[in-house]
Amino acid sequence: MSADVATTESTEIGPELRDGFEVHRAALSRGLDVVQFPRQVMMASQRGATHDKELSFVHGVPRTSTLSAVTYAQDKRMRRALLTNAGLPIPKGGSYSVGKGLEFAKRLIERIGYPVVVKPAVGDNTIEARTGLRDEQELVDAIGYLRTPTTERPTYTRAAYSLTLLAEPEELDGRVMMPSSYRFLLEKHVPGQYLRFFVIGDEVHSVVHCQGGPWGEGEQAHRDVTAATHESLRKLALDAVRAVPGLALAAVDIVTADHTVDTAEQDPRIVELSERPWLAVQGSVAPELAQRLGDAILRQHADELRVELADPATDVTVDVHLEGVTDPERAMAAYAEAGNARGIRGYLTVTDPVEGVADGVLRGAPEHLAWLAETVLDGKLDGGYRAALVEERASTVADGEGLAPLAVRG
Amino acid sequence: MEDPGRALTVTRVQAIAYQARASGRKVNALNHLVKLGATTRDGKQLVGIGEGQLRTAATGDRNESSWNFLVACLRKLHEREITVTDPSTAVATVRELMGQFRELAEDHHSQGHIDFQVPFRGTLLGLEVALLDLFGRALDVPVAELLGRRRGSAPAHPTGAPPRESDNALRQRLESQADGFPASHLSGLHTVEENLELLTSAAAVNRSEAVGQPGKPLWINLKGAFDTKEATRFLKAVAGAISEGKLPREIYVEQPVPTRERYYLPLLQRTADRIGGVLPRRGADIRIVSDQAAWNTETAGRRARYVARFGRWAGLRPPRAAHIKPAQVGGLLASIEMGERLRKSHPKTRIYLGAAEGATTVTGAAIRNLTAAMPELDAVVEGTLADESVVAAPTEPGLGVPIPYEEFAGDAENTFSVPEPVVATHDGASPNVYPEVTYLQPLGSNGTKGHLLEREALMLGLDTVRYNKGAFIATDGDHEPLSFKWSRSPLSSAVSLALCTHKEATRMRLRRAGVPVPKGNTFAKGDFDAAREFVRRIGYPVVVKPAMGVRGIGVVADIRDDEALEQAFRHLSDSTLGDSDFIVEQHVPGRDYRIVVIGDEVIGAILREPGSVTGDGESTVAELMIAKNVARRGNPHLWGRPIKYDDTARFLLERSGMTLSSVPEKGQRVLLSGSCSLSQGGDSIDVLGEMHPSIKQACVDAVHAVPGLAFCGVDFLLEDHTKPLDEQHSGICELNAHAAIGNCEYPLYGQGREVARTLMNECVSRFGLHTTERRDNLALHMIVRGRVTGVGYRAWIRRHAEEYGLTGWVRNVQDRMVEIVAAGDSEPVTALAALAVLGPSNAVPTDVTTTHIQPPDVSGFEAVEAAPKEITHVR
Repeated sequence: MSADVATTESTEIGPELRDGFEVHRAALSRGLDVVQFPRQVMMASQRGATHDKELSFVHGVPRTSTLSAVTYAQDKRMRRALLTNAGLPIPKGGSYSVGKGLEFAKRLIERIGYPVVVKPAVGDNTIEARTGLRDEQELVDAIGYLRTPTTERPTYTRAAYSLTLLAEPEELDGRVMMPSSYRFLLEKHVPGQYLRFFVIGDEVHSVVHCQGGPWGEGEQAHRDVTAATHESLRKLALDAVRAVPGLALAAVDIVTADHTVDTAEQDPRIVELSERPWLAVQGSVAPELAQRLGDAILRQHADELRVELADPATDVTVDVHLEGVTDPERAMAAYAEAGNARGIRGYLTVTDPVEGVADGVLRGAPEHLAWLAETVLDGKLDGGYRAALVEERASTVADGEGLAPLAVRG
Repeated sequence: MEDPGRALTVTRVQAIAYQARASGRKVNALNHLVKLGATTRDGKQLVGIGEGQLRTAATGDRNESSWNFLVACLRKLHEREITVTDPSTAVATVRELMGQFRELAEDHHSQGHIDFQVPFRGTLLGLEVALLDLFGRALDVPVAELLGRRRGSAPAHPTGAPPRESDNALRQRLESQADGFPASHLSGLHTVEENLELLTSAAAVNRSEAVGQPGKPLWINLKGAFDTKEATRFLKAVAGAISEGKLPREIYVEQPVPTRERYYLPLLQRTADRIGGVLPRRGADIRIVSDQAAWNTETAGRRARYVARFGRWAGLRPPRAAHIKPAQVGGLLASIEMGERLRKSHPKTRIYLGAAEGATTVTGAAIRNLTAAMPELDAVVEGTLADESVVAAPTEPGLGVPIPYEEFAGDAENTFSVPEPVVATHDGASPNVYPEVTYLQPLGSNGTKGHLLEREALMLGLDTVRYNKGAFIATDGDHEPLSFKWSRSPLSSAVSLALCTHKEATRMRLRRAGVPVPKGNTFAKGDFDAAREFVRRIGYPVVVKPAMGVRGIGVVADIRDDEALEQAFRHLSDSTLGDSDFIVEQHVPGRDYRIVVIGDEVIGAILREPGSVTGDGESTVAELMIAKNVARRGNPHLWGRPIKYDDTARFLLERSGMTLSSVPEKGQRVLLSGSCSLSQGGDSIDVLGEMHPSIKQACVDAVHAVPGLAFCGVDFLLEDHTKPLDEQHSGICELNAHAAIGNCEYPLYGQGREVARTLMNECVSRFGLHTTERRDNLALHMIVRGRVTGVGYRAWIRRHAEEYGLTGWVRNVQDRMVEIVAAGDSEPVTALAALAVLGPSNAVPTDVTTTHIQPPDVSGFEAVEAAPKEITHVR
């Protein structure tokens, strides 16, 4: 009956954890040993591999994406300049501070006209975009929203490698707000089909048409248009990624009239470029699509490091080792309960209650094992328990048959 | 009793240049502190002090030229013998000496060292006041006595109104200032409407019962908020509000337009008068407050001179409210003369006295003494005396104030002293001198760290595109370009930074790699039982800190017993971070080292020590601190990071029973900062040569343990860097994947290491870029895009290029594009490439593309319309 139980509990996970989760799942399914730290820093390798044969990722971004490249991608003003210098089409726009930028923004709009888009100028891409702003009131509201402290904005995310945010919230007139130097990007709202390209290396792996944009309620209407997308648009997406030297993968958003038509016959604009995959978009088309792309990220990185991978398995057995577990007895009980609800079998033991160390054996679907690890590392397990390290090694136990539903052993 | 007349010998002359501050905030201007030490014939030591205020065009000063001039004057004073017998001979002597200095100033002018007609007035003020103070003390009388005391106390205005005051704060302030003060002061806002609202709110408070002074004049300082058109609109709005009874009839408007528009002030006064009626007995009486820059034909700018000379035919009147500032006039004696002249020629003008913004108590005391010698003053308007509604007559000898070191010890930029200067030594070593700091300072704070890698890239023949202060890409034209942002390079991965910025993750990863790290563990909020158990296992001493802490908030270090541990837990529960998880870790007793690893090698290592000074047996703590800060000014990495005289410094001094005026013994170390952070005034001392190989190996192992990390600053706690690791307590407490490049490149003491050069070489070899031999001379072609035309960009670049000693030209190519050609030594010419993306204040460059060319055959550096020579690009 465990299979039935498993289907009742989901592996739902926030969009900010989705990429790391998918790559984690792929690594487990392909028999790699995984060590993961908080903030989705993950290493995956074959048993006994040296450091140079160790695959590593943060939020699903492989280590072949350089630090300077992801930093460039997170600065939209930089990114606009890079794309412009590469001769690529972007919407008209400019970046201003939330404190003093309104007048400048209005001056720009006098030239480019409404509707416009407002989004944070620095930080994670594709989030918190206010689109289709039609008049000054909507503009003022959108800028006003960005004065809200980031900690109180429901869809705000922050990558683990982002620049230290100099713009910490501060108290102004008795209200905690983002400081007036915090910047926003204003761009002309481009009408047309909103297309999300996902690029790994030199290849476009997926194109999704996101009606109403990739964020918010439009999700139901997302559809996979990879096969139908015109070659010239794919090339445009690849050129955009190349304009930011050092990115191993990227999500590129292009708005254009018709995805099946040559760029020469329409006026496409690159409206976003993210160094993070944001596979939640593809996942909303079909979970398998996100899974497949997570696996593609893993394979590409394995190819680069010349690491051979096993064929994917749907059920795996791992020796699990956790460190830095807060309140370890209760945490492991919660861990076992959540695992059990997802059909995981095996056992867990708190081996060192003082230092928060636990060990055990788990058998289950890779997505369920990955979900458990991601969740406890993010402090999202019921009860808020947290671990600072989760290690999963392909089990030396001959096979996981005969394991009972997951429970804590005394 | 001995005759008070004294024969003095000036035995020591000193000067300090420092950033001026107004209400604690730095203003963009320098002051000088002039200190004259003299010995009387009977062996008594006397000191006279004065403060100069350099306010560029307003005082005829430029920082560097004025400093050179000051030094020249001080050299003339050194070892001079002077006899002062009474106030009149003393003043005659001051006049004589100042006359000599003015001649010297004219020499500087005629030799082209300075371009102002009447130069160095702000500098002369400091010299004159120091002489007056010295002579006053010699004669045991206040400076006012020397100047000629002609009045007792004088009324003062309450200046120092805070900007953006809330309604409540405004009401409370005006109520508390109801008694005594003859006018209410306001700090202006941005728009006409905002300022009008501020005025009417203030007037309403003054009309209210609590104050009951409906006719009390209002004085608003607009700090140059308006252009000439808006200023006129403002005056009309004010006149309207007066006629509606919303404002008192007497309104003072200070600095309605920026200083560069000061020629317009008389025209504005004419407008105000016309609006108010020709004989404004009942109508509005709006007075534009003008300092002498607007009406003194000797010192005003060209346009102001023109307006002043020819204006009277156009119905212009003399200023109706004149603000005399001694730094503008060139001294106290000159201010007295100006007051007399003004009263005689314009009897109806209101006359006010005050210092330029950003004065210390020295100038405050000078103003107090000067007030007593100026019977024609209507009131004193001076921030340093703002608390008093009456400026009382001075009674103390001289200026009657000590040197206010606490006001500027952290802001010193330059010192001069004859005979011996104070040296900021460390274990007998003198601080390093880095000549290139001259080129790096114009890049501003953080400019150095954004520039060093590009300098190396250009010296290797790569082309670059710079996008801002921190970001540039470098290319050989064949391979994918390399991108850089501060020290974030393509050598490192995004993963490595994500790991290194998480301390717990770093610790676990390093421990698994067999590198020494302090033992530690994270605990759920409030789980103190588990933490106690953990401490029993690892033993004391320990550190307790919040898991998500920033900048050391809530950290308790060096906990040695159960009692201290419980105290730390309580501290944690009580702090704002009490609601988060916390970490307990081993406290490693040791000194703080930053060790730089590039690739497989340790290439730099510094010991970081908390900010301190070392006594020489003669200098005060303040003098030693200033010497240290001046030495830091000469360091490209530390010039914006002085030792601050803050609460910590005060606490540490108090704890060791000292003050800024204490004289530490020779060799005595006096702590001024609690942290080893170089940003907090810490010292950096190169130790690479003495570092034990086992320590270097551990650093390299640590870096190898992090995926895709090839440049790293390792923070290592060590007891002794010369000993092997297994003979001491030690621990790596942090890895910095985006470590600053400058700290090992430019240590304060010991040998600097080529961090930037090594890092760039590593990038080039790893990505296989084609480079040239590293060159010490370069000719560069730059295309600057963005808002760079019609904003004074070319003149700005030319000024810097000339200062840097470069040849070439600058010209506008198109509407939004400027071309710069510059050739010279690699250090200044590459600094110009970094500077080009900053531009003058009104420019907004988006990027600068820099490529290599054949050195053009030109001399000097010019702003031109067309390129004077053909450009040949080279690769």
